[in-house]
Amino acid sequence: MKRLCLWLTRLYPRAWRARYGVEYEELLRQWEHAGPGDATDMLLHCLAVWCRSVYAAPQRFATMTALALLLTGLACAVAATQGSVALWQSSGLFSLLALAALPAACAAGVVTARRTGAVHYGLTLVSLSLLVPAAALWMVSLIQAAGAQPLPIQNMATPAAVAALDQEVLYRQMLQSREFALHWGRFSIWAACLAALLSWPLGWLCVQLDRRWRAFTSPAKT
Amino acid sequence: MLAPPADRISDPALLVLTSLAEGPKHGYAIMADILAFAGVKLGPGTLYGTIQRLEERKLLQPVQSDDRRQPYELTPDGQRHIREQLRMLQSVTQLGFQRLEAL
Repeated sequence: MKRLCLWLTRLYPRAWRARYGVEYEELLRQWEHAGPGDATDMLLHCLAVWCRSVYAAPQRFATMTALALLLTGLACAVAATQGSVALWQSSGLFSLLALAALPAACAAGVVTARRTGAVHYGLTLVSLSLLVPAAALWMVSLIQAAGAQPLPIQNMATPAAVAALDQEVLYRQMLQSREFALHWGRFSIWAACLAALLSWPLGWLCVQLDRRWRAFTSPAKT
Repeated sequence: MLAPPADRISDPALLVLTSLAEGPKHGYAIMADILAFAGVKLGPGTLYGTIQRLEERKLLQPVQSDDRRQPYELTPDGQRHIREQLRMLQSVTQLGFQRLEAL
């Protein structure tokens, strides 16, 4: 466990390690009571240090982080919505990708908002309200359609066959509603991802306009 | 036998400052001291998160040392801060006892 803890120190940001790394490693070498709780404690602390370093980083780094998150979101959205219906049904991977796209885009907005102090980037969070019902509708339709099997119609003359025909009609209706839900589910997910991804440049535009407006309306200092 | 940590004061900043009130100590000594006097096992991450915060607030400072283990000591502000904190805790404790006795 001590070796694991020592290895975990490599996960800390470079600047933090430059300041505290040597003494931190020395402490871990001496600490005889190292256990899983200490490893968890280190991981949480490491995460906190990374978050702080992102918020306290220069503008360029924050922008790069936001852009990287945006690209991740875009890649997830594209990968999620390009899967065929069969893949949507057989694998949860695409739904996970779709659900990962929006948090990534939202995180980009939040990182930028925290760094710049501009609330305009908070618009990304609004698109979350679009995704949740869409994803729920889509999942429900998939679950309902999962148990449906095509019914063989062998003898049309018997009452059993008529009942089977009714069931076949119901089955077709269910298929149609499933296709409808799939279509709108995917459309909503696309719309939500697009809204989240567009909100970042939109936020940037709002900030620029806000600055120009303030410069225009405030009297020049003499 | 020490009581479980949940039964004891677990504000890491207070514990670290109290430990340093005895004199300069490095990270391991602080952890061992806190375990001895409070029965609280601070994780390495919690300890260094606390040290970093207290250093940023100028309540403690590193002491010049050639050792790989960096000792820390209280600053005058840190001494004032821990004194105020302990005084407040003492008044709360006294009040608590008085109220309990009145029951």
